This record gives sequence, structure tokens and C-alpha cells, in this order.
Amino acid sequence: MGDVMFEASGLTKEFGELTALRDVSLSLSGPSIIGLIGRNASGKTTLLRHIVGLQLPTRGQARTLGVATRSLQHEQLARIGVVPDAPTFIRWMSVGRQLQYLSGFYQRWDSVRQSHLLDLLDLDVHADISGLSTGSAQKLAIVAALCHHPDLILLDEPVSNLDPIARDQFLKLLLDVVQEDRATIVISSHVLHDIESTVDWIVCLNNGTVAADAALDDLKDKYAEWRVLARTRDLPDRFADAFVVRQTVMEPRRARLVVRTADADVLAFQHAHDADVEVAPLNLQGLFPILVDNGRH
Amino acid sequence: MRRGVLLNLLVRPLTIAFTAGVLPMAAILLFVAGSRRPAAVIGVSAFVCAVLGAFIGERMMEAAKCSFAWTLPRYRRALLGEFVICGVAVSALVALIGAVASTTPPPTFLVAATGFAAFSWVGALYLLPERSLLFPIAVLVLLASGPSAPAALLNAPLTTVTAALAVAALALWSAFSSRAFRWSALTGPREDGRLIWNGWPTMPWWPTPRTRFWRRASQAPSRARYLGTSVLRGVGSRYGATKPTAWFASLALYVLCVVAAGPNALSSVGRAPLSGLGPILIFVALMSASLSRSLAWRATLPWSRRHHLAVTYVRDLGDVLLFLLVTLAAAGTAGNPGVLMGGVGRGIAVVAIFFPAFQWAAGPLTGCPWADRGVTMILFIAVAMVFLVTLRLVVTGLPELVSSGAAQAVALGLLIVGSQALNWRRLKGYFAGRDLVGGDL
Repeated sequence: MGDVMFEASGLTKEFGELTALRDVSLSLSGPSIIGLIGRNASGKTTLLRHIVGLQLPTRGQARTLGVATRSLQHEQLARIGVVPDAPTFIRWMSVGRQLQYLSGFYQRWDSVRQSHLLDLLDLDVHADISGLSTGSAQKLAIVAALCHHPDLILLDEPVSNLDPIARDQFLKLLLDVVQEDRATIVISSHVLHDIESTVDWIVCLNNGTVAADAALDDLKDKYAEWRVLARTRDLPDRFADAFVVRQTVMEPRRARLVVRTADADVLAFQHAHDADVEVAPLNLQGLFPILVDNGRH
Repeated sequence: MRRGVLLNLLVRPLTIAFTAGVLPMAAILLFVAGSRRPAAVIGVSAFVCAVLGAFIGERMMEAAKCSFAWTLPRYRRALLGEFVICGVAVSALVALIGAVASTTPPPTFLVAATGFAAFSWVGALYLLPERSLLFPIAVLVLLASGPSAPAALLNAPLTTVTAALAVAALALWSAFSSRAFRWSALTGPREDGRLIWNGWPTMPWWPTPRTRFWRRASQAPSRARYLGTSVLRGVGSRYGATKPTAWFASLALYVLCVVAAGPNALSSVGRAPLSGLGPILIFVALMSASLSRSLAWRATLPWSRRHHLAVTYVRDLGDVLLFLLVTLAAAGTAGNPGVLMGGVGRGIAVVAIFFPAFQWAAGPLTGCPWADRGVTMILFIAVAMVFLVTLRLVVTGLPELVSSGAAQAVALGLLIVGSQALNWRRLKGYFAGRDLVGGDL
């Protein structure tokens, strides 16, 4: 990875008695697409808000584009594009007028890209913002966040309200943006299946702490799914092998296990349990519970 | 840097309508004030500038609460620059009209400086996190400061100008700070979204009420009794859900103003509705009316339309009763309850008659195309003007028409009942045919 876009060191955010982020230390570099995942209330949105300086750390340091988030200036803000989870605009303006209003603040605003994105996302430039559906408002936020060729793009649940077609188009678009602008994209989402094909780095938060911060491929290499089928006798109720991380399906003759590949020995396992084992790669959906359960990776 | 950042927020038919309504009214007020008492020009100019500042502040708040506002480079600075230019232009224009209108005009720079301070403060209030507390304090303190304040300012022009500019600078510094804009961006347009949560425990089938409901059901309860209980719960939740700071601050300040103003101020309401306690009565009526309006949070509760209607009506009625009770208690504390039988009593009755009109002018119950704060502000002003005229007519004209005090009380009582009946009809029509979705107020 190249330039460091965001760095946090011992970042803690407290809201009264609630600790949203707990001693978070991480570094986001680009160009890349980083998946920010975690359960509800794990601190994803709070972390994204810290990146743009909207919220400030209770303790610790946070730096975006080399500057402390407390002191972000227009030079840094002009390099950031944000799609919030619930975008809001000036209700009485039309889509076109709203974009025109925003465009004046960016030297690098690209009208050609604006037209292209409006076409791609099927957004009517004359539509009134007050009449936009939640999905259309999200599309408008996407257009507004990408037209000034930002170096750092923060997307908070950007696909949650998009229809399947728009979702596909949007995810392809992200790949184009990374190629064209060499941008770093941080995408927070619960729709793991969708973002899996797009992201190359995973940051997983759990209860405000970093549970995983690694390349997606590395994580996938570390774990595998074993589909176990007993040949002659029933399988045990639980497998005691140390490399078995998770036992998802347990029937007398059939089991589905998630194993740590570094320690797992298929042949020895087959011999010990008199069973056939089919090894399958683990997808992000399958990885998620492990990342959340195991704590810091 | 982009120019016309604020201008772009103002270029819309609403602004033209507002300006067309306010500027002629301002000119008339200034000419009337100028011909009678030069010192009053300062107060009227400040008032006009404050109204315009409120209008522009509202537009800025609308933009500051959008999700793009925080990350837009140089946005705060651009808004601040144009707001200051706007304030200078408005206060200069108003000072100029004041100079032309007055027979012996006060120093123009003094009028302009106080106007600019009023414009900045009121406009800035819309961007501040503490506005629900500061706004009632500012208005009530200004109203309670009395008609002698402009004359006092006139006697020390240099101090006044210095203080006014310092006040303006402080207001601008706080309103356009990163703290204020962070708060706006984080709270967003639906800052009272948390009220949804506050409303849940009032649902009849929420754990505690549910047990009671089933216990009653097993004892063959009357449906009317159940409905009555649930409506009262709904009304209670509505009062409970309103920001306590806003409630207590307004209430405490109102009582303080009535008590501090004393019997003389109370009796002057009838003679001069525009001075003394008159504007305070209007302001408090408007405030309490606007607090009870928004249905946005309640629309998410699984209430029937009939239930919504009942809760809204009872809450509206509760506001009137609360206002009357507090006023009577405050007047009693002021040591002159007897004055309520005279002009003051008639004035308070007129407020009660107009309460439903204030409530309707405070904004629509749910989001709809005219759900714009600017429109409601215009309606507010229109209702307040009609109210003042009626107040004057009733307080001074009624005794000439009906000499008996009892007959006057009966007539006013009938008018109050009539206005409540009208409110009921309007609410019934509203809940029968209106979409109960939206609501960005």
C-alpha cells in the first residue's frame, strides 16, 4: 500500500458511560478499497466520523491526510468525499441545483463525471429533492461524493438502500474510481456478500475495538471450511481439535467446520474420524463471525 | 471561492414573499415610530433587523444541518462572509429608512449598529446548539426591558455602538464555530428523533400498561375508559417528550416577567397592547403553541387516526389551560389578582380565543409541501397582527358594547368555546383526510 490516509493511535471515544471506540490503533493506506465491517453499534460510523473530524477523540490521536482531525482545513476536506448513512440535502432544491451548489466549493469538480454518474444511477437532474426516495437520496450523495475526484472516499452503508441493479453498478463504479483516481475507499457495510468482490482490505470492529485489520485474501487463506461426511460411525458431538475454530452444522453423520488452515491436517483428521472431508474456501460472510468472536486478529 | 453561497439559499419565491411582506411593514412601523418618538426608531429598527436575521438564520440552519455541510471546504467561512455582508446591508437600509422617517432622527450609525447586532444575534441563534434555551431568554429579556431601553441607548451612543458591535462579534464567532457546525451536522434535520423512543413506553401494549390493560379487559372494562387512559398517556408523553430545558426556561422566564412587570404592566396590556406585557403574552402563546405541533415522532407509533386526533386535541386544550393557569398564578404572585377582572382579564381571554390560531400558524402537524418554517413564520406574523388588532378592540371596545362584567365574561367564554369547537372541527378534518407520514419540523 502507498500513502497513509488515516492513522489512529489509542483512539478512544466515550459518550458518557458508553465507550464507542476503545483504544483503536490502525492505519488506512491507499489506493485500496477497505471494508469496514462489524456488528451493530460496534463503532463503524463513529470511526468514519472521526476520520472527517466530525467527532473528536476523547483520548488518543487521529490524523487524516497527515493532519490532526481536530485541525482539518479546506485543503484536506477538498480531498475527501463522504456518503453518510442518512444523507440529507436542501429539500427545496432540485438535484441539478443542489449539485451546482456543491460544485462551486471544489476546484476539481468534474461535470463530465457528474453527467455520467447521473446517467449510470438513473437520477433525474430536474427531480425535487423533497420527493426523492431514500435510495435516490443515497444515489445523489454518491454523485456528490465522487465528482470532485477525492483521494479519500468514506461510504457509510452506501448500498443498504440501493436496488440490486444500482448496487451492482455502484460497486463496479468503485473499482473504476480506484483505477482512475487512485483513491482510497473506506466502505462500511453489513451486506458482506456485495462488498466481498470489491474490497481488498478488511477492518473489523467489535465493541469499539479492532478485531481484524488485514488483507481479505490473507484472512481467507488463514481459514477454510470443511464439509465432513462420516463413512461408518457417527461423528462426535463436538470436535476437540485445536484447529477447529467453529462448528456450524452438527448432525450424527455430517458436520460443517471452520478450521485454521495453518494447523489443520486433512489426512490426519480423515483418518481419526473415519470421514470424508471436502475443503472449501471461506467467504466474507463465513469469516465475519470468526473475526467478531476472536477479538484482535 | 464560490460566491453567492448564502444568496443561493435565499433565491426562492418564499424569500420574495417574505421580503414583500416584511419590508413595507417595517417602513410603516418606522414611520409611525419616528413621527411619535425618535428613540423608538432604534427599537423598531432592531426589531426589523432581528426578524430579517431570523429569516436568514433559518435558511442557514437548514443548510448547516445537511449532511454535506461539514465536509464542504470553506463552507462556514463563505456563509459567514455573506451573512455579515447581508447584515450590514439590511441594517444600513433600515437605518436609512429610520433617518428619513423620523422627525428628529437618532444618529444613523447608532441605529445601524444596534440593527446589525440584533440581526447577527438572532440569525446566529439558529446555528447554536443552545438555541432552545437562549432564544426564549433573548426575546423575553428584550421584551421585558421595556420602552425606556432605546432612550437609554440614545444617551450613550458610543458605549452603545461598542457594545452592539462586541455583541455581534461574539454571536458570529459562536455561531460559525466548528463546534456549532459539528453539532448541526451530527444532529441533522431530525434532531428530535430521540422522541420516538420517549414515546414507546406510553403505548398501551408496552409491558407495564399491557398488564394493566389485560387485567382491566378481564374485568369487562368500558372501552371509553380504556381510550381515555390511553389518550391521557399520549398527552402525557407529548409533554414529557418536549425538551425540558425549553419548557422550564420558557415557563420560569414567563413567570418572572409577569411578576417583575407588576400590576402596572398588567393593566397596561389593555391600553397599549404593543408595549409592556402584551408582546410577552403573544410570545409565550406562540412558543407554547409551536412546542406542541410536530406529529413527526408520533406518526411512527401504532395509533389509530382517532387516537391521534384525541391526543392532539387534548394536548392543544392542555396548552390553553396551562397558559391561563400560569398567567393567573403569576398575576396572583404579582399581588394584583383583582386587575384580571378588568382589561388584563379581557386581554388574557383574547389570547385563549386565539390560541388555536397560533397553534395552526405554528406549523403543520405532518410534513406537507407548505411545511416550511418560512411560511409558518409569515403565518405567525399575520396571526399576531390580527391578534393585536382584536386585543385592542376587545379590551377597549367591549366595555362600550356590553357594560356588565358578567355579560362580558359570558361573551368571552362563548368565544373561547367557539374557537375550541373550530379547532376540533379542523383537527377532525385533518386526521380524516391527511397523510400521516413525513414531518420534518
